[in-house]
Amino acid sequence: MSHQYKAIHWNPQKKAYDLLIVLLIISYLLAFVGVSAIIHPNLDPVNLLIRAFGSLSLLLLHLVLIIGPLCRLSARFLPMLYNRRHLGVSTFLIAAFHGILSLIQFHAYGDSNMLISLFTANTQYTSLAQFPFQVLGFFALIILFFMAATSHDFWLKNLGQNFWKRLHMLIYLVYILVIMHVMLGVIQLESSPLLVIFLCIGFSLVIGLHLLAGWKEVKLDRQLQELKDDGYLLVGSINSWEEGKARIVNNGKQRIAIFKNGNEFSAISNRCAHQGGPLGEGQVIDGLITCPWHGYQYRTDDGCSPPPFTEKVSTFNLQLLGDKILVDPIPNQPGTKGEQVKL
Amino acid sequence: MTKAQRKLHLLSWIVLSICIPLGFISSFLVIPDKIMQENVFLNKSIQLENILTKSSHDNLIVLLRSDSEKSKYQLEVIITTPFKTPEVGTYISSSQNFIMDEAYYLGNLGSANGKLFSLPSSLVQQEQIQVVLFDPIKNELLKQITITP
Repeated sequence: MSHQYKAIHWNPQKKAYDLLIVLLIISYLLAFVGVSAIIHPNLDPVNLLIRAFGSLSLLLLHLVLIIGPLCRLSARFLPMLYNRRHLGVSTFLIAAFHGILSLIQFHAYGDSNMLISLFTANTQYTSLAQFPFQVLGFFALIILFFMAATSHDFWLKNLGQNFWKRLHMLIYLVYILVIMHVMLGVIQLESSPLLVIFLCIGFSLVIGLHLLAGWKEVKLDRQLQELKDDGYLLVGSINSWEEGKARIVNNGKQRIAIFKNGNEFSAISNRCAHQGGPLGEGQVIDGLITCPWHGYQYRTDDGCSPPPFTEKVSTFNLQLLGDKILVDPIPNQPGTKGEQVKL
Repeated sequence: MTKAQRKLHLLSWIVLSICIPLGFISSFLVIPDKIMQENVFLNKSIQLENILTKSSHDNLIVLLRSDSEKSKYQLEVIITTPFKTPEVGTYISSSQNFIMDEAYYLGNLGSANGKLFSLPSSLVQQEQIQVVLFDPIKNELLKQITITP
């Protein structure tokens, strides 16, 4: 199957995902502009676009941020994660339109450079009520730019998974900057309470879901398996597996996914070599363990991706004791064959 | 993700769950009582129906307009030959001697064919209105027109 195997290149699912993003963006912009044009027929079109792009990027940022915890809480949301990076890049592009239009509208007609004007038009940095909120949006946009620019797998590979992850965790900083940008900006001038209510619901949802998912994960990390005399961990009875699925155990340092594929049991690291996705929540498709996040695949026996792909994960040795499967908590080198259990 | 990454994520959100509501509430508390924002509309003012005075001056036609109740007033300036200067400030001066800082600024005449300015009714109560067109870049008085309402 390797000649047809496409991990994260363009495929119908990815195209459908992107089409949905584009439709969502166009529908929102048309609806916003249409409704605003009816309510305020003489509104300046540039201001209208600034508001449309600003509110849309805020909405998309919330969507991007809730996908992760939703997937941790329920596998039903996994399709939303599949091409989340394009949703993130779209968020940046929409925010960039908002930022550029705002710069032109509010800073281009003076006698100083737009960027200098951005930082010097309002210098009340010590006042909360009069704080130059545009600066917060500017820094959020700069961070989003670096995240969008490094979102491609080329950068993931070259920067390394840990550094890349930390870089992309800056989205949390972006989020607080954006919330304060909105609160100290438009909310200070807005007569309608709707935006405050929406924003309050939005950040409560984002924070709530992340805390819930984070707490669930930490609880799982604390659940240690029963350790047998020979140092192996008890996983469970051979009858307790679903076909093609895994049971996940924790050796105190990392999680191990033990898969059942027909009459074979095999164990690999739960962490996908691509973006650290939970392999144990994926399934065996065409004899290959498939990551639920982006479809990266690994062979069950040695944890290697099929050629021409080169990703590898650690394997673990298994033992059968009666009808119980046991796993050695010490990993084998990534890409080396682990001892499987064959019934 | 690794165990350390999961911990870092949770820790980040614990910090954010404190910082974001704090920032939200602090910003909410400083919202001014008086809402300062006004929608910016295109310059599509509708001309008031009554023309009180009309006068022609070289490259300009100046009209003083009012509604039927004479509660609203407008000054309409129609440019027949464009000015060479890009910035033409339109002012109402209270005396014959124009002093920019003391005059009432109506707005920039711009390069359009004409412009409507709303006039505060207090200005129209005077016997004569001095309409001054002034170039603030060259600091040059372009035209001074006297209107008798």
